[in-house]
Amino acid sequence: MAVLDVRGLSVRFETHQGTVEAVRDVSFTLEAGQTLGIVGESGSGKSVTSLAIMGLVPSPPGVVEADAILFEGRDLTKLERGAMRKVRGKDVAMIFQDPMTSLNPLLTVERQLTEVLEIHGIAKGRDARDRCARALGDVGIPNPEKRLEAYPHELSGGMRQRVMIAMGLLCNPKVLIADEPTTALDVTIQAQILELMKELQRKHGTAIVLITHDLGVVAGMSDAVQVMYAGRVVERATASELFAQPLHPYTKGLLTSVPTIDGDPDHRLTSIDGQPPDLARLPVGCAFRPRCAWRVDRCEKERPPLAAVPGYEPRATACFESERVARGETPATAGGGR
Amino acid sequence: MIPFLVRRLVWFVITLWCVVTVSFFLMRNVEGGPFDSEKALAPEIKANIERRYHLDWPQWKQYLQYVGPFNLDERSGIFSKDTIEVDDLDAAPIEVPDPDGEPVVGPDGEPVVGPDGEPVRPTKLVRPKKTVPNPDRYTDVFTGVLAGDLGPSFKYKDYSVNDIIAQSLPISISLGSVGLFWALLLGLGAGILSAVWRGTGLDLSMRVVATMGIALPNFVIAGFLILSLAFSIDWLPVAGWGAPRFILLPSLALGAPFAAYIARLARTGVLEVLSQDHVRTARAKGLPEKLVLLRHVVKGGVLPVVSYLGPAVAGILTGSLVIEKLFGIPGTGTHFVNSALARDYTLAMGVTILYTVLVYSLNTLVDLAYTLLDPRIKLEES
Amino acid sequence: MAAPKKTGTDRTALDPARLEKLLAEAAEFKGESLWQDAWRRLKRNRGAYLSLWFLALFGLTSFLAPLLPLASPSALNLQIEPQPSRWPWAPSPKIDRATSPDAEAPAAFGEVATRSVGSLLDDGWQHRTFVDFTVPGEGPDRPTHFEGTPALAEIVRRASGREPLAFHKRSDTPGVHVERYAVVHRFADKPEKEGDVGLQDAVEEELAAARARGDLDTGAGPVELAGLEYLPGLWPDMPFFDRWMLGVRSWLFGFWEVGPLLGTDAKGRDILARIVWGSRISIQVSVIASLVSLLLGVTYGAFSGFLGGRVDNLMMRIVDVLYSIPFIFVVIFFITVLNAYRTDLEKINITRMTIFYLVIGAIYWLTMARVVRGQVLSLKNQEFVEAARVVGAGTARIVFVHIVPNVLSIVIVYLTLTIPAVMLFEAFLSFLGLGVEAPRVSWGLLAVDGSEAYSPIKTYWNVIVYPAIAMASTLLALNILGDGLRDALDPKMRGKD
Repeated sequence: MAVLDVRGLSVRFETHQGTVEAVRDVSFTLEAGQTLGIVGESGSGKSVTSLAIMGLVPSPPGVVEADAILFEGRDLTKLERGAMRKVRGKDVAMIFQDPMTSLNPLLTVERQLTEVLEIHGIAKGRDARDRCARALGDVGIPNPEKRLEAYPHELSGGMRQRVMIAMGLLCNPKVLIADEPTTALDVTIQAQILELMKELQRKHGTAIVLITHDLGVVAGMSDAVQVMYAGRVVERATASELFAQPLHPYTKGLLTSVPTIDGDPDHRLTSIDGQPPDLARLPVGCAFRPRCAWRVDRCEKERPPLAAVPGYEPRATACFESERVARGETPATAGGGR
Repeated sequence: MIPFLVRRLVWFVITLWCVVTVSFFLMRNVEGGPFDSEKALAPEIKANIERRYHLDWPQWKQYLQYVGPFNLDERSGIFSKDTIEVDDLDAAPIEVPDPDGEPVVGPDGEPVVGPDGEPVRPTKLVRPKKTVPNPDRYTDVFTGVLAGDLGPSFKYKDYSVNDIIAQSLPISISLGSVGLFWALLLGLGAGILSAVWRGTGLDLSMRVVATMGIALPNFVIAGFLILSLAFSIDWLPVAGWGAPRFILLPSLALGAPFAAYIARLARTGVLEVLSQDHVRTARAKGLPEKLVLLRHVVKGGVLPVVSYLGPAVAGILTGSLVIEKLFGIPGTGTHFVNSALARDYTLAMGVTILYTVLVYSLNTLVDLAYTLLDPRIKLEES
Repeated sequence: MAAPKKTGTDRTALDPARLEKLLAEAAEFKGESLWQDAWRRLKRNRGAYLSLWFLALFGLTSFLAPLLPLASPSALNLQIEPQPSRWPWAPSPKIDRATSPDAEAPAAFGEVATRSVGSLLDDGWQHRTFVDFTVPGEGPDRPTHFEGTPALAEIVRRASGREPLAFHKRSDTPGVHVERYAVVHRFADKPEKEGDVGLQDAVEEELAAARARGDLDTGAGPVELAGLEYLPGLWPDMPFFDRWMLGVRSWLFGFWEVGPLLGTDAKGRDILARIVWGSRISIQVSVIASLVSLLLGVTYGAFSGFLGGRVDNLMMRIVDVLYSIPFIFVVIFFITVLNAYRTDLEKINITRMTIFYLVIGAIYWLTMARVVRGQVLSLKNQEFVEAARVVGAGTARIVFVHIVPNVLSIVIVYLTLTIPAVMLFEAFLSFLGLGVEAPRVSWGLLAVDGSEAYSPIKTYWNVIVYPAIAMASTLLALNILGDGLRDALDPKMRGKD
């Protein structure tokens, strides 16, 4: 049984400027010990997806709707607040994007770590302190006993992210949601942190949802990848397949905008023309249509559903023209743009 | 921490010196002292009063005397002599020429000229002087501001400024601290509740009341309080001092504007913290909402309030001038206003100096408290 | 693009079609100046925008107060109790404000009479000139109003252009008595110079002319000019423009004035008039004092920020120290001390109000100095200043185009927040009897009146509530506008929402 099974998740924000459809109809499953990468540009709804799973979407203005979010068979959307709280932090933990701001600056590391154990009734006092020190040691922080007394501002960015990871793993959660865990870090530290997460996953069998806009990180970490655009999943595949042959125009655009080490230095990096759509005023058809080079008339009136691509099962895309994209044909319309 | 305190102390001394010096010379150079308003005094009495307050000394000497710490008086101070001259009451009076008398006029209308060519003056009887050991020698060596002596009051002649302050300061301090208590209780309560239930009717009404509290002068607020409370509740006195119930209304009126300001600060502060990422982290850990608020939000949210405490204390001391006058409370503020209006400069100066010391030390305390609450702030940098 | 070897410039070059497209895209983004952007955002903040309009309207009313047919804010009428509100069309209760001419002995000969006869109400804006003649014959024992000697009345009428009122009384010199002709000036035509009796020359001229014509030859004896006396009204130093507006008012409305719409206080003074006229002084004090603080603060702060280093350190330490002085005590001490020098100071044109502005300004400059210094310090080293320098902008351009607007916005914000603080402080000083003095009226004095108007027996609500509402709404509007401006001008908020 999948440890996490999300079905038909939608999140919208009711603002003064209108309703913002942040996430539409997102579904995925995650097995124990596996890593799912969710990729997309800013505002594509990947972070909101993770917050919705945790039940942390601020309401109002946020409204979360889902057919089900099953964690080990239990539907998290049907849980009461108290019961949900017990799952949060203990069974499903989360690591946030910015280690600079995600730790409370006014409390010591010890206080912030031990309270997780205390809240979930795992350990108290001396025992909790020892466990926390061990956890800090596990994530590679030297001299953990001393670090416990430090305040966040006395630690470097990498250290803080390690503290965050230690905090997330303190209760040995079944699912760890990591929202851009390495974005704020130097490249060398990034590699260390990712290596650390992989190692911990091997040790505890944790399932990881890795949210990032960094394709390199996804390539190195994930088993499966889900690409999001304008609140919807536009392509789903295993990591290796996706990188080898993108089937959605957007994915293709993303991949060609990344420099590769063996690429021709004279080759121009292409960017995707145009701007991401306004989530409050989504077009009727495909949201990517205005920027799409493969667009056809059909995309304007009809939104392509996420469906398996013939010949590439079980890979799925939300595009009518995936087969042509896969074949590497030239775009139907020249120039792109609007 | 020690260098911080030392630096504070140095600046404190400079500040105080400026306040004392400027106000001293302003005061001494004002034409029309406190005694001019009364009916004209006989020259002897005036001279006596001037001698008593050392007004016959040169100004620099008066200044040194005021600043202290040494008493320059020749009778009892540090330079006092071992003997003094007193009237010899046992000896017979002797006749001496009176230098102030009009020259004696002869029958022809011309001044009579003595053998030495000088006009002859009348004589007067005086006691002969005798030299005795000075009984007051070194009895009062330390005086002046540095010795904590603010001098005699010009208006209340039998009291020193210290006496008056000793009598009235406890009243003002109790009024002020109860006022501060109200300000913190009502302000923090309203501010935090307002932030937690933002956007609700409760939040809106609290914000309106708080803005009114900031916008209205405290004596208008006091008026409304009296109208709404004192006239409807029998045991609540409108004015006076004596029993604990007397403090209720004035302290509320005194604290209300600051409660309003604190409520606004606390609301903004808590909202600011609520929007920060670490609160989301705390929720993600599975903390119950109450604990998230108490442990992670409130402390950071009220930090701006802590830094406002310094100005608030100064403001409450200021506000007490009005409130004490309005409610007829015999506190230091009332004395200050009266002394300023009656030109009792020593008393006015004394209160100014006292409140400078008070506000400065409380500000330093608040800064210290802030560093205890916020580990990011280092004293050395501030 | 196909050629294998490329130069660096080629690589970054754009093909024309692409460039055109980018330019078209860029053109779609309309550039906005800081002020346009701020104005747009201020308009969206409904509370602040409403406050702005409210304040503008209120400021206009207050400025045009002399034009409005309001009762005098300072004319006393001790015979009546506080009056409730009355609509202009409601019948006015008969209140005999006029004292009969020969009642009690007048304070100055003829003064009370001219007060009551000169206009319906003595609104404090009138000035009187008394022209005294010694005339042969015995006068009445008590000063009395009479119809006047036609020839003398004519002299005064010709000299002043107004109808005089005549009184006569006995003189100390036997055989003659004194006739006094009183001219009531309305608003505008008071003597040009202080202490000047404006009619002196004209009366002397007319007297000589009358003599020449033989109008004064009664045969009883010579008529002599005994002297002229000028009695200023309650508002002797009203500026020219206000006097002009009062003139326009009397031309428009004559002596008609709207009734006590908001009632009167215990001394019979119209509350609405007091609120409107009081706002003038309160606004004047707070705006001028805020400007003084602005001048001091900006200069000090800018210097400190520009000089930087050790000087900056010292200057800011001084500000820190001044912050911890309970200034109000020092200020009250100053004001009392300066009051002792009042007559001297008034000789060199330093009135109590001037002292007021200076002293209040001197307190409130501290925050301004800190803010400006911080702003200048951060701007000085910011990239856009460097960037401006790189593209060749001169120092003047950098200062005026890049630094001044940025500092200006924060200065404006603090100005709007200082004004209400100063208004409160004025009220505070007035309450302690150290502020504005009667017959002038300020909101502080109104609040003081209000705080004295309650008692367990009878409370005069209108005396308390209306001034409080006026004060609270203005201060509220200023606070809201200040906050709104801060949000609107905050560079961090630019382009958002």
